[in-house]
Amino acid sequence: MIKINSVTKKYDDFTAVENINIEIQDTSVFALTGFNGSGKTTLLNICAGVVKATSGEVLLDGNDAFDNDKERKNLFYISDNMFFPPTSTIKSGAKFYANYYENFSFDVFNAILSIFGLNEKLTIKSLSKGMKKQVQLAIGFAAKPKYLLIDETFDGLDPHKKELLKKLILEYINETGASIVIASHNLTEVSDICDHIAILNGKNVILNCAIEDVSEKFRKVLVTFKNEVTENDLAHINYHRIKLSGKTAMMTICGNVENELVKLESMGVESIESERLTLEEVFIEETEAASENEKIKSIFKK
Amino acid sequence: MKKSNLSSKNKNFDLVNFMAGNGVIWLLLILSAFIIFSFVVGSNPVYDLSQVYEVYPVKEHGYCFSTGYNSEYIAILFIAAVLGITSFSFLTNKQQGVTMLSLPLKRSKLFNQKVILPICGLAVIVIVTKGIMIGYNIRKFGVNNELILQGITDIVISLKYVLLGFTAFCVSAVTCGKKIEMAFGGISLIAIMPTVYSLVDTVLSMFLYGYDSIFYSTTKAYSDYIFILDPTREITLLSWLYESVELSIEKLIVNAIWIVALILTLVFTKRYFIKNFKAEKIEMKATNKPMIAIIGATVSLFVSEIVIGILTDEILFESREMTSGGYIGLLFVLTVVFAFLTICLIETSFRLNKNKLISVLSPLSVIILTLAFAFSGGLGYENRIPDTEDIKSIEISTTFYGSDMFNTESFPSVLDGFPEYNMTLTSENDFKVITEIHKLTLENRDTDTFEGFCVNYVLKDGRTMSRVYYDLSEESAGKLLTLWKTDATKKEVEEYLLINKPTNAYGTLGEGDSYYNEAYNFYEVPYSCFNYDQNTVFVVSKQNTGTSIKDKLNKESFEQIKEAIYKDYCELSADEWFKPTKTYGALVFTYDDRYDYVEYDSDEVLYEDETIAGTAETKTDKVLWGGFSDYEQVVIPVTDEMKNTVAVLKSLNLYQYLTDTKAEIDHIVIADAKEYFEWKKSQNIENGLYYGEDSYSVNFIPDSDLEGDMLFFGKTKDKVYDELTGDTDVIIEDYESILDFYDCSTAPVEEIKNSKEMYTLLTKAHIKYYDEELKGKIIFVYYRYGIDSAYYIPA
Repeated sequence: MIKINSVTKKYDDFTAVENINIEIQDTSVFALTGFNGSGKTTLLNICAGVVKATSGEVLLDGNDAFDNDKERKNLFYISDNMFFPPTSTIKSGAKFYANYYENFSFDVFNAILSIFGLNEKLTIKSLSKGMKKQVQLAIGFAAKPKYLLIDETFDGLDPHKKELLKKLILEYINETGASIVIASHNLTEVSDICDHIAILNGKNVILNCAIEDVSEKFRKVLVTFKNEVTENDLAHINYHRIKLSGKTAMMTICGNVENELVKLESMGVESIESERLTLEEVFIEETEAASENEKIKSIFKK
Repeated sequence: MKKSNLSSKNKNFDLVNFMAGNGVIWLLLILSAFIIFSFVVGSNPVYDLSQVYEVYPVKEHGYCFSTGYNSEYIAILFIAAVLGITSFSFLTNKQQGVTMLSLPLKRSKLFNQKVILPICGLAVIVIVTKGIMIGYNIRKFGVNNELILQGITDIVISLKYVLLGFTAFCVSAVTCGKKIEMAFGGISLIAIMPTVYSLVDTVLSMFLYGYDSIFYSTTKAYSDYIFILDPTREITLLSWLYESVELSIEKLIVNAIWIVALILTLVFTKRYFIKNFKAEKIEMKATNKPMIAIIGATVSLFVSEIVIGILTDEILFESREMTSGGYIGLLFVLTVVFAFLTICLIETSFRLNKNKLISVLSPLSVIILTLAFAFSGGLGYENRIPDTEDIKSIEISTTFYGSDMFNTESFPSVLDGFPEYNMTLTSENDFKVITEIHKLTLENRDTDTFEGFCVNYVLKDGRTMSRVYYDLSEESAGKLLTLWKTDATKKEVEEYLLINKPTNAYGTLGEGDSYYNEAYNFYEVPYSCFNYDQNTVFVVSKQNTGTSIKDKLNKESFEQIKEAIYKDYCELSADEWFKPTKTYGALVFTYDDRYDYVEYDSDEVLYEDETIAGTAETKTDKVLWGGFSDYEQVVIPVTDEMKNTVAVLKSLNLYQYLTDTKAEIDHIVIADAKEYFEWKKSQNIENGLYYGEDSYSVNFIPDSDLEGDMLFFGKTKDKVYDELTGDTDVIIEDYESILDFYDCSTAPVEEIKNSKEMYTLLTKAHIKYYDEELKGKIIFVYYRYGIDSAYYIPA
């Protein structure tokens, strides 16, 4: 289990992440999402021991991850742009990493290369961004880590390779019981394979739950009241966002949805419709991106 | 070789691949091996090695070992720096840095991996290369303590540069975020002490008249304390690329301390890397404020000093016209500008911020501290003349560059064996003489001259005060003549003249000098030009080049002459001695060097022979001597003031020779001037002695109507030659090739049809400078006795 305990990281006056608490269970695919610059990579860097947290700690199976080679043998970090020795080929690049990971399996590596259709004799420099990503993923899986951290997981991959990757991830977890942490903003891809998700908003975790709980917790509700209502009338309702128009109110509710629906019905409504939010809608709601829609519209009106 | 700690249990570990992962380091090491080996061996061939080894004593000159040249140290430092940059460049590259730090490798192990291979690899290369040279020297010269000390010191110094270059860039990489910052940082760490020394030197020289150089001024008392702070001492101290370093046990210790200090620095850097290194600053600009201060100070001061040097020497004004205030002002302005530009370059931004303020303030604070140092008289640099009662001893030497100060109508100096005065004075009377000269010097300056002297006061409190003056007024320069009447000089003259102190070129080398024997397995027989048994004495008149009077003297009369000279020297004032009303001629005491011989293993004489100077050959592999090539002579003028000498010469019927107009010519060599110059140049180039087109020299009669004691063959055409006038019956033979020139040298004088007229002709040919382009003849006159001379006859 990876346990992120009250981790804060500050760069001088700038706070990248603050008081983050996340637990990543074994045999799970954990999605780390958030807008650009929300602190996903910082958090992965801290987990991988590249960067030391200003305060707090990351525990791998109960042990501090920072500068701990014993625990980090079980962890492989596929950063956004992995390093390969100059002039190395795919094969020699893999060997470079194999020197550091005693469980590294060239059979696995070759098999994955074969699936991706890559020739091991190609030099790394000659590869496209997507192909490099495939090599990195192949190395990551071949290292057989207990914890695999993948930054910008689906970047550069074509749809077919994305599907292959998803299957690889699921198969790997099934076979090894490992945990995979995926940092991505591609919510569609994430929602397909992840069982847990955490959303960062630039400092804090604003959502940390199982994927299936997301749609349960977030609802979009369209209510038509018998009379006109104001926001004051709805003050006792635990809504997240609201848009009022005469007798009609469109709102998003999170938390105990059924409870809030009962409260609304008690106010005298003509009709009430509730709809579950998609992961992307939740992301937009939670990161307050929705409020920017009006700002965007106003830009060009001027 | 043990595999890395991590890999030792890793079944996947592939040594070849692991090495390939450090491919750049391996490549650099192989390249380094070639470079260092070629520097050590290639630039110092075997022949040179044996040459230098034989001639110079180890302790006094340090030239005997071919290794230890500063060009080698520069090469080693440069290679070590490149290895440091390469090893730690991952800390300035985000992609590589993040990857390396995410690997299952403790930071301490990662650091060790990056340090051990390049340092050990380079150290092995250095030790093996130097070891080969030591082995060669041992084989050639045998084992001796000096050679071993020399070799070990050289290896230790080389290892210091290995560590210095590597550590500087290691520290820089660990503390800086960007490549350019790392590069500036590493260079600054290496250059900071020489730069500060240079600044201190320059500032002190502005404030302390006569202050010359920290390298000179502090040699006596402070060298061990000050120079230990400069790890690049060997490089900065020596200006010539192929100048070798004086090596000694003290330097061995100092450099060993540096090695320990640098290793400790690496250890501390490792601790910093483990505990405090922040990966997030990789590729971020100017993140380390102490490093910014060091870079700002070093780079700006270094560049400013160079720019001021160029401005003062080449563009704006003569350096002597620069005032201290103007210098400091210019230094302030330039350092601010360069410090600002340096940090702008690192940050790629011209916006004023805290970093730029630090980089500007750091050199200014160094300058202010240096000024405070100068004003406070730090380390004994006081701008005063010490009181005589505070002086323990005075070392003084005169340096007369092209000076004719003592070239009166007589001779260059009291004893011709002292072209430069170099004495240690210990009597209070002498202290008064020196302080008076010093006081006069401070009061009177003449910026048009380069007359000067160096003085080093050793004070009773252990401190020293050194000054060098190059701009003496005529009055001050004239006052220097009194140096020849100091107690120390009197004692010296007495020892030479009356006690026959050896006048060998390399000092007194007694038979019982065990050090010398151990170092060289030979010693040189001490000789004196004033020893009746060893010398030949001539009387030189104004018109001829010398008549031997040895056969006219017995030991008693020989001693009489010397005593008379000494009496005259004691009785006459310096002015009377150097500025006589009339000079008759001179007495020339020469040493007959046919008595040179060599000895091996101190007791057993293996080779003794009458040798012609410079041509003795090694008889066995173990004999090391090649013979002296110098013609030793001491010329003493005979002037009207020297009543005692003149009286003795008259009583011995030798006075007549002072007025001789005849010279016994043995043979004459005539050659085409241009051809001779070309031949001479080719000879010099072949011998490795020709460094430019400046000059050649030949021996010359010290007294005649001709000026100077040396002739120069230069390319300048501004020297005028007297036209040869009048007809002559002398036939100047026309030789066209060097071969003919050689043949001529064996021609007997009888073949010259009219030697008397030839002599007349020659004495009319005023000679001072020869121009290579001028047409004409060079005539070499070889006298039966006395000093041979060369003449130029314009076409």
